[in-house]
Amino acid sequence: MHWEPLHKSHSIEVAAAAINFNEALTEVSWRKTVRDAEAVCRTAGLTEKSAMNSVQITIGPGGAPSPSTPPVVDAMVFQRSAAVDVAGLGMQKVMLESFAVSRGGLNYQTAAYTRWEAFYGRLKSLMRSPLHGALHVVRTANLRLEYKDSFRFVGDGPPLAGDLLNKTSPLIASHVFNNEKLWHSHTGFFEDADGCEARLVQINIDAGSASKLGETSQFRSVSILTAVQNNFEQGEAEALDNEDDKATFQLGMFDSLHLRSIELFRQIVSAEAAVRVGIK
Amino acid sequence: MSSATAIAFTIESSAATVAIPPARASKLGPSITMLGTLLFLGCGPTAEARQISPSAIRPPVLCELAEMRGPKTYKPSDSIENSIARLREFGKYHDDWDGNGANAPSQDAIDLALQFLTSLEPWHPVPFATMSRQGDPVIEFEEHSTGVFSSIRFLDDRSVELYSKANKEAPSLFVTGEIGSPKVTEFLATMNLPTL
Repeated sequence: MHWEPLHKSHSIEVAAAAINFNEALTEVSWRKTVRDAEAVCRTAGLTEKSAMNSVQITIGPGGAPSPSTPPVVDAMVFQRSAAVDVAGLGMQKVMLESFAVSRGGLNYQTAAYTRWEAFYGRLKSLMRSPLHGALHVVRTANLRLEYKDSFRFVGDGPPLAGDLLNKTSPLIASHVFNNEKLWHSHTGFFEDADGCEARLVQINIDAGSASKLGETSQFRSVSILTAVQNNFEQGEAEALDNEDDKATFQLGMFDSLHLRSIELFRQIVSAEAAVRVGIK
Repeated sequence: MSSATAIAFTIESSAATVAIPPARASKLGPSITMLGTLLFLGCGPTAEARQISPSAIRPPVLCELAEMRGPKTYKPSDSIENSIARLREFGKYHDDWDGNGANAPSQDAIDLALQFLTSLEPWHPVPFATMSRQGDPVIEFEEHSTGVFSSIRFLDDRSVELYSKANKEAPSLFVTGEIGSPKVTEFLATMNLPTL
């Protein structure tokens, strides 16, 4: 096999989970949600903070721009970083985890994925309290789970994706398997799923040239982005009596998103690659 | 043996494979790009699902968040990778995995040990993951240059057993306690390890 997963035991470069609300939180409820998130993030080691601002441009009478208004903080991001030693460049800072609380939702992502159980436990411990608070004032519109897997080609032959991907998969464009140049294969569809109005699936596979930082030589890489999203119909998530039950139900649903993602990934990669990353 | 444990493997992508057009990325600062993400995340999905086709969906969250992460890919050192792989494998063990009555591991303890491995930085000692017959994951650190040996045993009640021995003649030191407790935090500092 000439394709190596990014990590020794799996290929996940980044994983992300998002809960999106059906309307923006008010200023008061957003601040409360940020406070809840700050408390759990501090305990979890996500101690770096940054604000994400939006810019407002106001047009005055006659179309003339009026004095600019101060930027509005749209999200607070709590992060954990790591130092890594890059040959020729010394220590570099790399973001490992982040938890963003925006007015429109909660978003957790990690570049330090190890296994589903650890990711899921972390996700629940970070999201439960702020989600519980937010659900007093807004409804959840959708839950989304994304994985970005990465493989690197090693060897002398042409970097053909046919050696990595499942040639019979209906989720991959047929032109990519013997294509020595760069390519994209993006697809998506809706499907039925329990507990939601509709489930959206997106599969974006990209071939690219990459290089190690500090080095000039390039190699071919293939990234596979798998996204699964459960959309709720208005009122659907209101069936449960209290916010605690709603939060438990919604966080529990990520497990089914994960299982569907694994199923999709098995359809995308070759049997050999599936064994290599421990899913077969 | 070197004391560096997290030698980086970082990849800088130069491909035309990112979902965000380069022109747009260069014009917009990270905060603005993130705002786009946030607006996307905040859209009512029910309305989206009804009004647009899957192929018209905007770039996935991770593609846009890549702007914030930057071009570096995190890949820990081989010793950390090996320890992660071993713990993942231990997590699949059942009772009597050694054929001699050993206990299956606590999954929570395995997750804690995995989390700890991701907190190791280049200046920390080299880890090696193993498992006790009681099913407790253990991470050992042996610094050949100084002779220091230490270990962390992760128990299933969110507590740990810490062990350290500065050299062959030095006394063995133990501490047991809850993760985050002052005595555990202080002992980890003397072991030159990150706090839990």
